[in-house]
Amino acid sequence: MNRRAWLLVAVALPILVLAGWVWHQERQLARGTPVILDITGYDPRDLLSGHYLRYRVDWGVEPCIGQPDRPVWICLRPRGKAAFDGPPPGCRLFVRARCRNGRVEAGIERYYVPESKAADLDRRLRTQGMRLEIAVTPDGRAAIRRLLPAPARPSPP
Amino acid sequence: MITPYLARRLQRWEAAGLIDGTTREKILAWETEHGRGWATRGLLALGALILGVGLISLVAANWERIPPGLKLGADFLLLTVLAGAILRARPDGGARETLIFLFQLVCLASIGLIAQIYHLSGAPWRALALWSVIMLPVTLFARSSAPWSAWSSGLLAALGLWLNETAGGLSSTSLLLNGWLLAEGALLLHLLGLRLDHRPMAAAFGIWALALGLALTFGIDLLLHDGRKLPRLVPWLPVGYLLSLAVLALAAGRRLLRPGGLLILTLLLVMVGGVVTVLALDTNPPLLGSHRHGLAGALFSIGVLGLGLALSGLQGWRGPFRVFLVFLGLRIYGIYLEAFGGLAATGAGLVISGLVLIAVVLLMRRIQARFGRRS
Repeated sequence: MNRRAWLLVAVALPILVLAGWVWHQERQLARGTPVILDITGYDPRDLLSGHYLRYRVDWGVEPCIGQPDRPVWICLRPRGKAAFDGPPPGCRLFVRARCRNGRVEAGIERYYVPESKAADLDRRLRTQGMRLEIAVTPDGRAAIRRLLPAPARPSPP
Repeated sequence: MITPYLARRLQRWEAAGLIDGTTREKILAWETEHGRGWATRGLLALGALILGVGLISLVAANWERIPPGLKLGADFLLLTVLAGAILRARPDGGARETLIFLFQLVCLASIGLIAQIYHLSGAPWRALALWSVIMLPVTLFARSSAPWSAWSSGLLAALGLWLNETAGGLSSTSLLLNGWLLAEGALLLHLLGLRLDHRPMAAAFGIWALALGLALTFGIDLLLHDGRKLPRLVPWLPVGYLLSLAVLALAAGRRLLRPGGLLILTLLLVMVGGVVTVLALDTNPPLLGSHRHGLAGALFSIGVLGLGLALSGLQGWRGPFRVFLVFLGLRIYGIYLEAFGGLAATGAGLVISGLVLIAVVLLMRRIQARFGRRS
C-alpha cells in the first residue's frame, strides 16, 4: 500500500469509529426495553459537551453502600433486588452496573441539556425531582431515552 | 524566511573565515526560497485552534432547535470534507498540517457531540483515550508541531486523568504518580521520536517531559519538606522502574545520547525512583528525620536540576539547559530564604548551594573541554 492509501486509512478510521459508535447507541436505544426511573440531582457543566444534569437514580435498592469497587446487577422487574455475581434469581429485566465510591454507576448518570434551559431544569430537578426513561438491553446495558417531569402530586384536600 | 538569528550567525561564520561571502549569499538565497514560513504556519495553526475551540463551544451550547440527526449529519459531513481536503493537500505544504490539526479538533468536538446526544456519562479520560487512539494514524502523517502538541497533550491528559481515578481521586499520591509515570512516559516517547528521526514528535514529548519532570522535582521537594509518606504508591513502583529501564534501554540502543549522557540519565532516574520509593515505603532514613526534611527536599531538587543541567549541556540542548539553569538558581535562592531560621542553618544552606553550583559549573567546563565544544 502506498503512502496516499495509508493516509486514506488514517483519515477514514476516526470517521468510521465515530459512525460505529453512533450506530451502536442507536441500536441499543431501539432494541432496549423502556423503563422509567425516579431521579433527584443537580447541574454541573462539561467543557466538551456542555451543561448536564447529574442525579441519583432511585433503583429501589441500594446495594453499593459500604461495598468496594465491583460489578453489580440490579433487578428492575421485579424491583428491589440486586446481586454481585450475576443477575438476581427470578429477575426478568436487570441493569449491569458498577459500585463506585458507595454509589451505583450504570452509565446513565448524566443528562445533557440545552444551555438556555439548564437553570430551569436544574431548579425543577432539585425541587420536584424528575423521571428518566431508559432503554435496557437483554444483557443489562442501559441507555437514556428522555427526561420526563415528575408525576403530578395530588393536591391536599 | 531569514530569521535575524540565522543572519547574525552567517555574519559571524563569515567573519571567522568559516564560510566565504559567496557561500553566505547562497545560503541566504536558499533559505529565502525554501524557508519554512514558520510565522505563516503558526498563524494558520492559531486560526485552526480558534476555529476548533469555537466548534467545541457551539457543540457544548447544545442548541435544542437543531434535531440530533441534523447535528450528527452536519458533523460527519464536516469530518468527511476535512478528510478529503487532507487527502488532496500537498504533502509538504502548511495547508495539510493546518487541516490535520483542525481534523483533530473537530474529532474531539464530535466525541463531545455524540456523548451529548446519547447522554453518555463516562469519565473524561475515556473520551481523551478514544480520541488519542483514533487520531494516532493521521497524526503520524503530520510533520509540524501543532498536531503533535495537540496529540501529546491529549494522550498525557488521558493517562493523567486515568491515573488520578485509579489512585482514588486527587491527592498527593495521584499527583506524584502523574508526575513520575507521565514524565518517564513522555521521556520515552521523546527518545522514540529521536530514534525515528521524527522531530515534531520528539519536540512535543520533550517539552512535556521537561515540564512534568520539573513539576515532579518540586512536588517531591515539597513532600520531603513536609515529611509526607505515601504508602498507596507501592503498587505502582514496578511500573515506574520498568519505565525507567525502557527509557535507558531506548537511550542506549541507538546511542541517542553522547557518552556520559547515559550515565547522567541513569543517575537522574535512579535518584528520582529512589526518593519515590522512600516516600512510598516509609523507610524513614536519617536524612528525612524530623527537622531535616527541608534540607532533604532542597538537596533532592538541586541534585536533579544539576543533573538535568549537566545532561542538557552535554547534549547541546540549549532550551532545556536555560530552563534548568533558571530553576536551579531559583531553588538555591529558595534555600537561602528557608534557612533564614537560624545562623547555622543559613550558613549550611549557602555553603552547600555554593559548592553545588561551583561543582556543576566545573563539571560542565570539563565536559565541554572533553568534547571540544565551547558555549
